[in-house]
Amino acid sequence: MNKTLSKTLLLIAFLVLILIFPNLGSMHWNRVLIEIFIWSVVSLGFRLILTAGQLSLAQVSFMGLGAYTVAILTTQAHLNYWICFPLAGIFTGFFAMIIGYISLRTRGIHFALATFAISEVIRLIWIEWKTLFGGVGGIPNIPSPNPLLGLKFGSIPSFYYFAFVVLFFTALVMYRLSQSRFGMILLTLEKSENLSQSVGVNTFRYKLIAFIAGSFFAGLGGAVHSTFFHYVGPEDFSIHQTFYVLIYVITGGANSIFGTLLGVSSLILGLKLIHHLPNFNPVWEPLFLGGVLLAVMKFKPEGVISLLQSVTRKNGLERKQ
Amino acid sequence: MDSFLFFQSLINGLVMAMVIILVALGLNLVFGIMNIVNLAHGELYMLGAYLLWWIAVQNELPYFYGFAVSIAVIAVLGIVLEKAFFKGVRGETLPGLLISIGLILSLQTVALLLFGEQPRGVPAPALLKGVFRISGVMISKERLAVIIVTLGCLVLMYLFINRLRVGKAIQAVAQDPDAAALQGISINNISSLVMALGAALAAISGCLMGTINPITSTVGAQPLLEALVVIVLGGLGSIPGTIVGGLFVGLVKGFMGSYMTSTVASITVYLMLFILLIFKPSGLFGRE
Repeated sequence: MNKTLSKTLLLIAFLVLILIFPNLGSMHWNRVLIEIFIWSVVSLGFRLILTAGQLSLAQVSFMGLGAYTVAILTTQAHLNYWICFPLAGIFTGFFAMIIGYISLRTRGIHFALATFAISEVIRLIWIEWKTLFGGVGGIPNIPSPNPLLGLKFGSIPSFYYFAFVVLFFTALVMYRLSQSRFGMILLTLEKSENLSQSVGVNTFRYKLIAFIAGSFFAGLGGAVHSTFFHYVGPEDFSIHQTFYVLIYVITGGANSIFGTLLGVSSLILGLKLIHHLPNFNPVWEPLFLGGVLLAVMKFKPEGVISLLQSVTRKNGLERKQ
Repeated sequence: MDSFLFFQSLINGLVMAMVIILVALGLNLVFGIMNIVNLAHGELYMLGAYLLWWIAVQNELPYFYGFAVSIAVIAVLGIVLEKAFFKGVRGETLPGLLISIGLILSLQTVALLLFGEQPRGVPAPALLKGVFRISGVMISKERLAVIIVTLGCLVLMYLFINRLRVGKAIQAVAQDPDAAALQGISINNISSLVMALGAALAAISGCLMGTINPITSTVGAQPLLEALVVIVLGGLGSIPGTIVGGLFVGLVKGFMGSYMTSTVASITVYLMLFILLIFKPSGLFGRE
């Protein structure tokens, strides 16, 4: 059997397994898989921005923008969820366009720290502007998605399929992008931004598009998150969760879409497994992920570092002697 | 009444400025030598405050004993972190950033497990209780102590960096690590020393604030981000720049905090960081 065929068969078997899972697994594991789908969408967006050579520490805050958009539009304006869902992505992408237009002139550590600052600003605005965002308490009672074409989304298995479709769509777009001219140009940006610039590529434009697209998917992920948990709050979308996404992507390997999906699934499963340890305490979660990151950086940094060098690499002239 | 609020804001701003200056000074030193932005620097501040609480409140030992032990322990922790994690990525900014993110998550959990989840506070020792009056203006002695201790640290640091041989070695490494190594300066030892110094300064500011603000596991993030503003504003490796930048940020926080809310003050400072990083990026890398 040739290699492509066996790969395709494996993929189909895996898809079938995912599709029949709600009939096999318990409610608990259904919920876990939904969480994995949501964070995969956000992580794939993060990875797209990283492929363009930018480390965005505002990814989960942007996810929160999508989540809050849905929360406000469904609880206060009583709009249909299926109108809010694309709006969440579009609004987040629009916000990213403004932030990106200002900040993408910098790169490396400057961009990372600038997005860190923006992430804190967004979180503090959620806390401060109580009438719109509900302050520290957030916004509760977000309804389940409205029925669509006769399908209802109130139960966990039906929601599972909805979340999976969102992930499938995201992964498909990411795959198509990576095969397109756009994806090729992003790869050259990662290798050498100066060289692409010198052959006439408007690198700023491509970085901006990658940033907008990556943030758009963060917003979509947030839109699924808020209606799944029926709640949004500032601490759900803090810088810590961005650190988590960063760890999922770095651990799985940011070089491929598959690696990212693998990183998200294995680490979230790991997090759920430590829940079963005796004397489990929720504060172990950051220690677990922080430990994973430290171990990756300490024992297997080659993959990470080669990727990061492209992020760190600056114009030859700027380079510190 | 209005002038009362004004002076109160001024004093609060000065106290906050002192804390930010101490944190920024350590962060600046570490960045200058290792080219690493140690985001976990705020966690050293947090652990310093917790240690003081653990010794002085939990174990009821004298306050000043707790202060000294906390500084020493955090300085040693700084060396351990340098040897175990930062050594391998010295000079590489983004891998260093990732390691510091791993340390933030780990150290915050360690603090929660060791010191509990409820906020902690340290009462001021007898010596620092009460208020000090200068022509009608009142200032609590603990706040006065923050200002005096910080000024003392600044003078000591200045003398250390400029007068002592080892201080000059630090300057040499900051200017050109290769040339410094050729002169027989051990980059390893200087890096450890700088981490220890930075950690000790963070612990000092943590202990000073431990009597004024409640201590929680996430208390380190704010001084860290503010210290980043100061570094970008004041320039890398410049002690006078750090002082001016720290005073500016502290006073902005003090006045906005009392005339508006402290959240609005923080939003302003972080927006400042965003704008400075984009429009004045030389602040972080600008060593001419």
